Amino acid sequence: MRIHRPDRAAYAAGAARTIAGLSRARGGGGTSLPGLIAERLAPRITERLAAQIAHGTIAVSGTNGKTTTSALVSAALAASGLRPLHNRAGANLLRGITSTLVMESGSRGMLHKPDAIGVFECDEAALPAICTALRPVAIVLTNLFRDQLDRYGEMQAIVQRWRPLIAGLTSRTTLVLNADDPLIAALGIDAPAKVVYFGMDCRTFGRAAPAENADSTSCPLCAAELAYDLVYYAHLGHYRCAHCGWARPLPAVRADAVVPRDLKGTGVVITVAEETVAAELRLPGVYNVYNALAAAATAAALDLSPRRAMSALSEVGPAFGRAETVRFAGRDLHLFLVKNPTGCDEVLHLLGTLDGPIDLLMLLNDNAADGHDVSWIWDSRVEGIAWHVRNATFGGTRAADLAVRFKYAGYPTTGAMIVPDIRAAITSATAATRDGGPLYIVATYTAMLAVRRFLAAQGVVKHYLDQAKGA
Amino acid sequence: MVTDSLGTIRIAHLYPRQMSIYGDTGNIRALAQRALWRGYAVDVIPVDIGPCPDMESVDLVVIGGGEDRAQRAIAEDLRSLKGPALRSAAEGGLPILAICGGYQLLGAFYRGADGSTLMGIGLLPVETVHAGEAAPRCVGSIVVRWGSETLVGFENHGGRTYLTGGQPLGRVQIGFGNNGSDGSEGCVAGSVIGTYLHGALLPKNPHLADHLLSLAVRRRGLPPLPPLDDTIETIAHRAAVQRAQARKR
Repeated sequence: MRIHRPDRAAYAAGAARTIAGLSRARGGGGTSLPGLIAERLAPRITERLAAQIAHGTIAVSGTNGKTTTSALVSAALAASGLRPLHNRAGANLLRGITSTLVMESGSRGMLHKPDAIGVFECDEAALPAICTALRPVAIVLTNLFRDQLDRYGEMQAIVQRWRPLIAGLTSRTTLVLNADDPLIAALGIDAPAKVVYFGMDCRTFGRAAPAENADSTSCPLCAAELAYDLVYYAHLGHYRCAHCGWARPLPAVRADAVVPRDLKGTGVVITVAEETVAAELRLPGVYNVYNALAAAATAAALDLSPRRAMSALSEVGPAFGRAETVRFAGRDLHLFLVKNPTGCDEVLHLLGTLDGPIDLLMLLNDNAADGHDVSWIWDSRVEGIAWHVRNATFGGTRAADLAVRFKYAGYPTTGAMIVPDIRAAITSATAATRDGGPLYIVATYTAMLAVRRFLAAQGVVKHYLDQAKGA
Repeated sequence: MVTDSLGTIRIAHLYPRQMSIYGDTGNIRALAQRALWRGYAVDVIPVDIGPCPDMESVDLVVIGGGEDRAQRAIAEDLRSLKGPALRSAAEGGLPILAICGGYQLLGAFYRGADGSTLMGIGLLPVETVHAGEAAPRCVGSIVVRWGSETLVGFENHGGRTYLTGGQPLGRVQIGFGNNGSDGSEGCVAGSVIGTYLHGALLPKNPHLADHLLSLAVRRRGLPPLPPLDDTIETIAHRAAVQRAQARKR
């Protein structure tokens, strides 16, 4: 018997792709199985494949906005003729990135189309390991909020994990940092990498004092309390430390004006160095202005035309479950993904600005990807939206917790509103909307997947894995 | 302020910025709403670092959980500026609820992961030692037997707490509790209750919320609390118990 010994990486990639294909054929949606197999068969395969990417890779991380920012970065780069290669939302651990690269490569362990630029959304805890493998040319950090405490532990732990990563960089890498988030901004101090800051400079848009559930308003350098001139969103804003004198760095990429347009989007005026560009984003909410700024700053770090980048950003619509609208049973369903109190507050605040009262379906799961601990709903300012809700339905594994939350927020909750089964919840909530009007669906991660599966089964949206790559 | 209310219930929330790690403000909301629904007016008084308000005129005290850094930031203030007044009022029956990091500081001491020790205010006969970064944290859904009833919540702590006297709050049915070895959860001494339960604790455990409110109204000489319709809370409580049972290893 002749033994043919192919290159280990090629063999690993081929085996991984075959098994992935079988898994998909059986209806599995796993995005990391190919990576798991490839890793076992050929260690360091990720490094080897990433090294083939002609224009290098960009890593995007932070608590909120990774997926949207990655999509915006990809769009901005594509507009300048680059071909972005990126991982799907949720495949943001090292294994998921390995899978992405394996699925893009051929039988010889070589990428099909190496003339590309990698744009990889990275889980915060996994970022250092991913960057060791990818050796990115840019690392984009959006923000740090208290997320799922039972998975990541304290925010300080994430900063501690990131410090050695940053200390080990060279000027070959650019850090793209949110100047308005003190925890992120402080990472740029004395960093051996190049640093580009982005932030908001729009004085008409901010509030006077930190939001009630701000996670961290102490100085990352000396732990004294930070003073804020202006707050945009949770602990993001214009801050300074009276004790040690450290203050928000001035961003090279900034939003000078922000004009919200309900759920349709946001008008922005962004300045990159000396160039000022106006654009209409198709994404609503201040949190998306930050995502757009991150993308504009990344394009600037790569010396791409700001005008072309902003024009591309204007084309990007909402991604999977992020202020996405689908049509079902003769109604508009608006889908919002929430993961933590800050993100939830921004969504609820946005809903509170709409003509109301609104019909709301809120879905709370406590599976691993959602976070087993749902205490965070008590940090979310449901009180602000409760008065603005006409008909509420609560679904998911922790539907009853939501019902209690709304009851204590002053909403007249009844047992009939608790419908744990998500398909039944969507069906009844949709049927009950006012005059066949819209339904607003706010859901945690695995609950949003369930919404997606249900709608796909009804023929409404394509299974998200079949969607074309990109936003 | 409600003009013809039965009176005002004053809830002191200790260190709301530093010690509100994870939804623990839900306990304030639960107490406040349940008092409002009975016709009381409610004042929630945030108590930060600095001078201590008059604890004799306060009806309930709540302190939530916090990261190690937050505990270090408030421990000295708690001991020197708040401790004596709290101790004195607790002797007179002032109900105090302390969660997680707050619970630890109500004990004799908390020895952190780095070996440093924070002295507590000694309102509860407990000592806490962090098991070290290498040791697994006590994380997960927890169900506790409290008298003839259950308490349900979520725990997440590296510290292991041991009673040196007094009584636990309850016995662990599912989860780790104080230290994962002796089956105790929390501690009760008079009107002072410490526990590791987040969730938030009181919304899904209305019987415990009412226990605290009853201690408060009794201390003020006010009439007993009429019952409330806890249908929604009970559905959530039972669902949480079932979920914990389904996840039990």
